[in-house]
Amino acid sequence: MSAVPEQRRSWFADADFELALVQLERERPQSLWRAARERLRRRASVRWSLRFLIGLCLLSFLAPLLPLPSPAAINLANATLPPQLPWPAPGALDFEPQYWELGPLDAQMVSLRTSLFGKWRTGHWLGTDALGRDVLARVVWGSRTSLLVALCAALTSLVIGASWGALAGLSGGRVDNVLMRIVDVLFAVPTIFLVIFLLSVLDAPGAGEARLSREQIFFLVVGAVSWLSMARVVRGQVLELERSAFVEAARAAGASTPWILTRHILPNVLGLVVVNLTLTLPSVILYEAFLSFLGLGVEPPRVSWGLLAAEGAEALNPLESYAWLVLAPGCAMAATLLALSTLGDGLRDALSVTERHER
Amino acid sequence: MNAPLCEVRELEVRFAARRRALFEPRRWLQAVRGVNLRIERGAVLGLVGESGCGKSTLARAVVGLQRPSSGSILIDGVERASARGKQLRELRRRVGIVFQDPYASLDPRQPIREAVLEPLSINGFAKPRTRRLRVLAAFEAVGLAANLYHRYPHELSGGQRQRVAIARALVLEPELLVCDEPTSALDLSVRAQIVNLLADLRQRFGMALLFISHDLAVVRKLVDEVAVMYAGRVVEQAPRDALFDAPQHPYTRALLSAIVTPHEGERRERIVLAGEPPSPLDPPSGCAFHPRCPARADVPGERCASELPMLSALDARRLRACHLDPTL
Amino acid sequence: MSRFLLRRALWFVVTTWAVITIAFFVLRAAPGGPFSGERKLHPSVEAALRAQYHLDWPLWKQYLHTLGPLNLDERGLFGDASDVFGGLLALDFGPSMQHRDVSVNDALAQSLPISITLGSLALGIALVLGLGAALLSAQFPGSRFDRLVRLAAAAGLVLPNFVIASLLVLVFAFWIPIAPVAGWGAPRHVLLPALALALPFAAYIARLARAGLLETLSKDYIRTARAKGASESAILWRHALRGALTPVVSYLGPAAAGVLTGSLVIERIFAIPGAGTHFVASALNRDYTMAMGVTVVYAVMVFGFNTAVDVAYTLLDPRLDLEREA
Repeated sequence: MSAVPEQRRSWFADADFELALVQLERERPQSLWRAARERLRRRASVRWSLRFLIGLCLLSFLAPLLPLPSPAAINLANATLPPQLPWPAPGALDFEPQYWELGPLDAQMVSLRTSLFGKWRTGHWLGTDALGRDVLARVVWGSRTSLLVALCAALTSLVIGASWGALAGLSGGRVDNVLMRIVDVLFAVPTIFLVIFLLSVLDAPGAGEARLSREQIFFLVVGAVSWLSMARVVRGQVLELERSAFVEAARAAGASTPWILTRHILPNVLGLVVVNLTLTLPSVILYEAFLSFLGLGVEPPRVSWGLLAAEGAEALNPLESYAWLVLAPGCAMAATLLALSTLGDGLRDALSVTERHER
Repeated sequence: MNAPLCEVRELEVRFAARRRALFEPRRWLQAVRGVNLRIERGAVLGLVGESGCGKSTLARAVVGLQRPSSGSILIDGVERASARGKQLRELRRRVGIVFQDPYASLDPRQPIREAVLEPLSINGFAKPRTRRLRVLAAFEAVGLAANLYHRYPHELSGGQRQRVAIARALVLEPELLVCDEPTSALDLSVRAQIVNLLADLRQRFGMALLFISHDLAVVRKLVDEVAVMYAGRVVEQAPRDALFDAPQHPYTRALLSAIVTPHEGERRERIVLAGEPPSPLDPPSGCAFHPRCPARADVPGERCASELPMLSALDARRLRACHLDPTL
Repeated sequence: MSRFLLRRALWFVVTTWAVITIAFFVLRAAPGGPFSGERKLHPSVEAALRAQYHLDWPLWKQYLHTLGPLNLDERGLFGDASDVFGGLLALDFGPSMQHRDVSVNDALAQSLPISITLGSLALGIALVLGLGAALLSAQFPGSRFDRLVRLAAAAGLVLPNFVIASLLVLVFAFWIPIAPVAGWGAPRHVLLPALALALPFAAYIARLARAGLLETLSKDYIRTARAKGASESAILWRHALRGALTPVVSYLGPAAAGVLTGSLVIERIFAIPGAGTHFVASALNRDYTMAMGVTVVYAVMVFGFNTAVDVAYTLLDPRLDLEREA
């Protein structure tokens, strides 16, 4: 082998560019993410969706702190009150802290609420159900289940789905084949049947004390079926990126796989993952509603939107429709899903502008 | 010390083709079938042929993106496939590549300064500050305005992007730059600019080029020597003028007859080839070109269909693989 | 094409096997059995029942017996050979574990036609409504009707089907009583459930088809047709519809699976004695054989429908090559 010339003279007179570099580095370049955020902010529908979702999250997290009536307090004297307009003055002073078993944080918040507001509570703004429970309080508390399910599904599709897809796309060959065939089979199996199986079966009586709570099982199962499409999408994108000329160029320059992963594949997949996430959340929330309707979701006295809507649907009768019992949770769900899909569409448009090829 | 800068020896590259049926024997798609090439320091070798003839695979093998099935690639006497560690890094520095499609070869999420900086960072070249200076120097060398420094690929034109791709290949000061159809995705007007730029860079830095194209007009402007590939093999190789003035292989003649040469006044008879380029899955027997060859009738017997013509010297500088009588 | 179908058939076998196996082991791994209900059975009775359903066999034997196609019990090849074939592969789903005098086959034979009628009707309604709305709104994009369609489609997508069903019941059964609330038998019984089942899918189809139509209408060949003087409706029906149909057809596979899922809810709301009702009941009661039977039948239906959709897809768009598809 011929030795590398000891002191090769550089082709470039690097020092000539000191001044230019200093000037250029004084500029604050626009990053793609920032540009996307600005594009996003320019759309009124996206702004409103975002505000709504943030508000909803706050409302649902702070539910125990708000001066709402208790969602579980039964008062047959007040059964099936319709919503009233104008809203009755929030004057009632009969709040009783009746809840199901709350977590420590929620219990803290409830005691803080009683010390803040005492027995004072808001009126039955959205009416009451057949047992006299306040619909507004139930809808607000019910949002917690829906959002938690959404969060859980988001986490699994992020953790399992994205890494499953990335692993398949990156390793290729036999590993890819096996991983994706598993996804294919799970896709072909009508998952709802498996879910119903799992839910009813894992929750069997006589399963002993150590078993998971119904709710935990529910979250596990919903999470377990919601990562499939994410795995597919991520794998497709990773495969495409792996074959792309810019990754080849980096390879030719000697880039290692971790380098390519962090510098090229991750940034390019991230946007897609975010968009996919916002667009799959609506279907997960619907899924929760569906399972709750069948009696496989959360158990009374706990509440979820699906459960509330199911109760409302069952209360329908030709004499007295009690329409608000269906409409209140239905509208809450519809507004949330609409906001999520608007946000998802907006994100997709905002993030894809930079990748448009002018061909 | 007299080893050529790059030497390709009996290179073969094949891919396993997808089986159509479960019990079908594995079929091989042979993209490159025994190619020998030499590129001297500072020389420009053009490689021409129809799409699918294996020229891009050859390019990828030369820069190490494609492992040879057999044969070897020597860079300055060092075997590419067996180089490791520091030696491999040095090889990568010495051989750069520019891809065909400037839209695909730049990461849409990476500012172009990062794209040009990347090879330097990967190879741990100098100090970070010097690297950034080097990026600007490379910008200047390829004629990119410094104010594009912070831009993203989607903000640039096709020609500008290809300049970025060239700058990215240039920062490591390669001795051999492999250009895989660098102009074919560009508009005609931009094409000339990029060809001129490559010619300038070659003049200025004295690097060698392996210039791959199916555009003979572009090849003629830039190269010293031309190798013509057909179905994975080199069928003719000659210095540029010899090849363009007196092509020896019927396939080269057909290729040349298709280009318009207004400034030369001469009118060649247009040779239109019948049929499609052969499938690399099952190329014709004998000379792969024989089913389409207009001169086949001039070779006695069925030699073309049965016997593979070897690439052999016609004179001191010309090689040809054809059964046709050289005196014809 | 034949190769595609062959591959599909192979894939079908694998999927069905996977469904059976997963379902079998999930059910068996579950705590509690079909006889561990609220009513505590006498141990000897329970043992007899367990023996009757072969729950006392080793797991592998139960599995093979469930899978078929050979009977492993005393009537099978190793017994008196009076009934050699059995198990799922022989299309014998066995007796129901909850209703001991009914075989799963009989229950399915009764309930499945009902579910299929409901499901296909819903798909038909979804297609007609969705495509109709899309055609009209694409003909007058930006019009009041177009906006109405888009709004309705958005609403249909964000409301769960039982809320839609409740609203339909509210309006068409209570306020304007033109349809019965529940039951099955007369044609008028089908109206509301099929509509409730169809609406979310109609909304999605309308959205897909509208986008497809608008995109096709902006293509060059449509402009050429216009330049030739073709009438606007001829362009829409003859040229654009085809382009808009492809995404809709490819959506039909998922839609069919969705209709099956949705029918679980709809059948319950309208008290329809379909397979979905059986399924939910069987899963809740741990009626192994019934749950297995419905699952396998539904999986097969989804698979068959998807294959049909793929074939239809290539007929619409000849550029797609099924042979290439993995």
